[in-house]
Amino acid sequence: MRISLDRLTKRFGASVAVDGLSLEIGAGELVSLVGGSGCGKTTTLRVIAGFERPDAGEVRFDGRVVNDVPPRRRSVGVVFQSYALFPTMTVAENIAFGPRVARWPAPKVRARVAEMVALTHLHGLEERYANQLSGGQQQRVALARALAKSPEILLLDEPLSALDAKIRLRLRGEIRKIQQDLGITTVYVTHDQEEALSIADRIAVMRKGRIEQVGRPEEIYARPRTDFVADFIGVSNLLACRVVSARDGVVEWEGERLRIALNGGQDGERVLLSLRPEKLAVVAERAPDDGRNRLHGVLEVVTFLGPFVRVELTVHGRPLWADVPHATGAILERKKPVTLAFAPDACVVIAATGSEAD
Amino acid sequence: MDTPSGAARSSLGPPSALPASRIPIQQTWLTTDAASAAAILLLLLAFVVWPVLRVLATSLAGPAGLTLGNYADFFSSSRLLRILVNSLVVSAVSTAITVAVALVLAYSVTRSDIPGKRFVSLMSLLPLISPPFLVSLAFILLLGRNGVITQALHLDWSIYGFTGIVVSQVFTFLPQGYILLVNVLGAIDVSLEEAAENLGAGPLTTLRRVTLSLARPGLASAALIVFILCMTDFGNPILIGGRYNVLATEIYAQVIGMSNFAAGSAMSAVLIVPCLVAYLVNACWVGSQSYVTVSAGARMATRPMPPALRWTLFVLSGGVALGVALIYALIPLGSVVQLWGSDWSLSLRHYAFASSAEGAWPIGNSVKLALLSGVIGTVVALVTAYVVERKRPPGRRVIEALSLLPAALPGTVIGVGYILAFNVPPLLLTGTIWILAASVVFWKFPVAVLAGINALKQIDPAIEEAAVSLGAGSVRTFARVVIPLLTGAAFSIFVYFFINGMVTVSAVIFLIYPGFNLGSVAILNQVENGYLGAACALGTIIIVIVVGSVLLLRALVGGDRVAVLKL
Ligand SMILES: Nc1ncnc2c1ncn2[C@@H]1O[C@H](COP(=O)(O)OP(=O)(O)O)[C@@H](O)[C@H]1O
Ligand SMILES: [Mg+2]
Repeated sequence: MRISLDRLTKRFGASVAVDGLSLEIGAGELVSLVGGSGCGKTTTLRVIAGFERPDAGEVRFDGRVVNDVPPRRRSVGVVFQSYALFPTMTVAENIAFGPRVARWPAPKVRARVAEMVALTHLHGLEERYANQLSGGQQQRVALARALAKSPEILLLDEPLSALDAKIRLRLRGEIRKIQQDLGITTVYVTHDQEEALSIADRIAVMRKGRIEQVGRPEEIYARPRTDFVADFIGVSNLLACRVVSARDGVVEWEGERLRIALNGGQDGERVLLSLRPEKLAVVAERAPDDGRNRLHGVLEVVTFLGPFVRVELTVHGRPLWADVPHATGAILERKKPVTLAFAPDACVVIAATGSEAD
Repeated sequence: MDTPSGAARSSLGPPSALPASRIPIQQTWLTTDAASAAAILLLLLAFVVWPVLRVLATSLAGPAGLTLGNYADFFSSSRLLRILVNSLVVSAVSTAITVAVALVLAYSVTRSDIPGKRFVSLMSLLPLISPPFLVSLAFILLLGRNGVITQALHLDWSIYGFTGIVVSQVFTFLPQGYILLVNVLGAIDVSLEEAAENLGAGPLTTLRRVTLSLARPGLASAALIVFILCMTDFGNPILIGGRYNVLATEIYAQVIGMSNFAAGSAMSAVLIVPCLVAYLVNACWVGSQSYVTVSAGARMATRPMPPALRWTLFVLSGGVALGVALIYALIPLGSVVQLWGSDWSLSLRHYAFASSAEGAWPIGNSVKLALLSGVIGTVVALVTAYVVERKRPPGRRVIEALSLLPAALPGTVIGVGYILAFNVPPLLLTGTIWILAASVVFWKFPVAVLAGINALKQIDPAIEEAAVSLGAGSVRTFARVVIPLLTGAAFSIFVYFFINGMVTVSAVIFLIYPGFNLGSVAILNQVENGYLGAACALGTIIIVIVVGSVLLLRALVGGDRVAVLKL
């Protein structure tokens, strides 16, 4: 089922939780809403589920406006952030709740519960109560319960935020697998950009009730359109530059001339560049010119991050991060000069009109 | 309540690596603790356990030593058995209605968006701050022999008796049920109801299968507590009970009317049994049933509901709230008309009273008692809470259990027990204000101690540990570090004892002495003598004093730091 959100607005008193948000979600697609706390993700989800009425705009399922359809008639399954398992009921009763309320015949309910238990690997826990389950198990029950009536849309609100890192990774994979097996249209809310990048077909980065950028994970990562997106998704060095020559692709940053791949723009214009840490390399101070830009800085901190080390440098009084191999990290010394290099096409130009930082 | 900042903790670090010089401090600290724990235990033994034991001993004493004769008398008298059954029946009926009404009010306030929620909430709590039997007085004004409605309709029926007790108890104990159920419903995560709705359940299915199912332990708890309150209620039955006798009033008649302590004690023991059973069932069984919130971040919010349900809730809770408002409007009204039921002209003559022994003195005495109980009660309750919650001495469970026990004790039993226990040396207290203050403090102790314990639970123990690690002793830590953090709770507890000192009647009516009457008891006297106007005048004055002092305290120490304690 397709979901269209058309210029949705939701206010609470004077504050605007969702501000003219539009988004198309294709059938069977998993779209992740990602953004900081309070940016309106949950509210958007609740509007889709029907718990909140939008003050303006439309929600359409397969083109049909559902603004006036109450939640229980929407064929939407919701996994709540708090799971919201019924504490007075067992796992099996929780899963059976939807089918029973819909007056499915008892044998069919039983079969469906067994099916959901198998799908979410809950064997042997059917008679337990929610408070006798681990967080990960509660999460599975919540998912099984939401899917029991075969809804056409699945909504998940930060489903993994309360779990340990290891379980989070495993469940993330399981949720994605189930979603793809069922081919169910899914909206997945998270504040964790890494989770969003790994699970979603497309990501919608939200900020202050609006969508800042929508796209496939690799698009969002490689070509952030605003400084907010560049900063929020992954780690970015943001360089505020002035265009010296738009034709030759030359900009000036902190008095330093840099060659970058500009397309368009005018001389004298201010632009913001996003430079991912992994695009920066440490080179010898007198290495021969290979067409890459050079920056000279002083090493401040080296942080071990598993597969690589992240070094923080001060360049022209500004902090910059670079991700380098262990071998390189090992020979660097604090407070000693370091030379960095990056290719002209390593930078992404962020629209000069991009929203200013918070 | 001020929450402690994390700063103290982080800047001082854990008090583990302490210099050896701390050891002597540690020792004095321990002895102060032991001494305060022992002192509290002694107080509780003297003022809770001893009076109850005296009641039991007296009930078992006969001319020829130990006997069960008093109980035999009780259970062989059909009149007394009838009274026992009356008590149980009227309490059961009042409880069922009170809990049902409280549930509607609590559900309306926590879950619906009906207009006038604040009014409903305020009216649900109002009976807390008045003498418990003013409701009866109001119903007498409406439906008594000279009541407005009785006269207007030329009824030869009046409300005295079973009906009177039930309607009065429902309005009197509404606040307790309401507060309990608001807390119960408020603790239920709205997401659960949304989940049910998302899975296709309609409003009524959701209400039944999710909300009420979750609230069941809370409802049981509310029912048991209200049942105890009704069983032990003295003021309403004595005012409006007519010929429908209950145990609490019969004990009073035996002890004060006929000086028959043996029979009164046996009845007291009989009255304690259902109360204690209800108390223990609530504490042990229902307590273990309540559902721990499975998830963090329970949200409380009003939810859209079908108009039919919304309007039903609005009419029901609005009606009850207006009823309470009417009841409390009748009291001052009754105090300013010439003669209720026959001469409606306005007059202040009821405020003149026949003599100051009827008006000014009892009210003055009530204020004195309220202040004394407030000060003593606050100190003792806070120290007890501190010892129980923070110091955890060996006998802590006993101290806690004894502090909470009075919740199961009828005021009449406290009254009888105090006469029996304190009319001989070494604790010769009868005929002094101290025995009255002690009865208020220890009878009303449970709520105050629980409030203190709850307040302490909000304070990070690391703050005290920081003080101790900096060399402060136990007394100084309590005085300089803990007390300031507890000011909000302390004022609330003070207000709680103060209000009870002003309005309580069932225990103190046994303990007042010639020349020392109390305002609340004086109201009863006036009603008994047929002076409804004077009774209303006294009731009005007491309400004004209570409301005035609460508002004054709030103004002095700041808004919401003074909560009117519940229960
Ligand atoms: N029921 C509500 N009443 C008032 N304000 C709300 C309510 N729900 C959300 N808000 C506000 O709307 C904004 C967006 O909230 P939410 O959608 O929960 O954000 P997110 O899920 O992205 O953290 C926040 O500022 C929040 O305070
Ligand atoms: Mg949220």
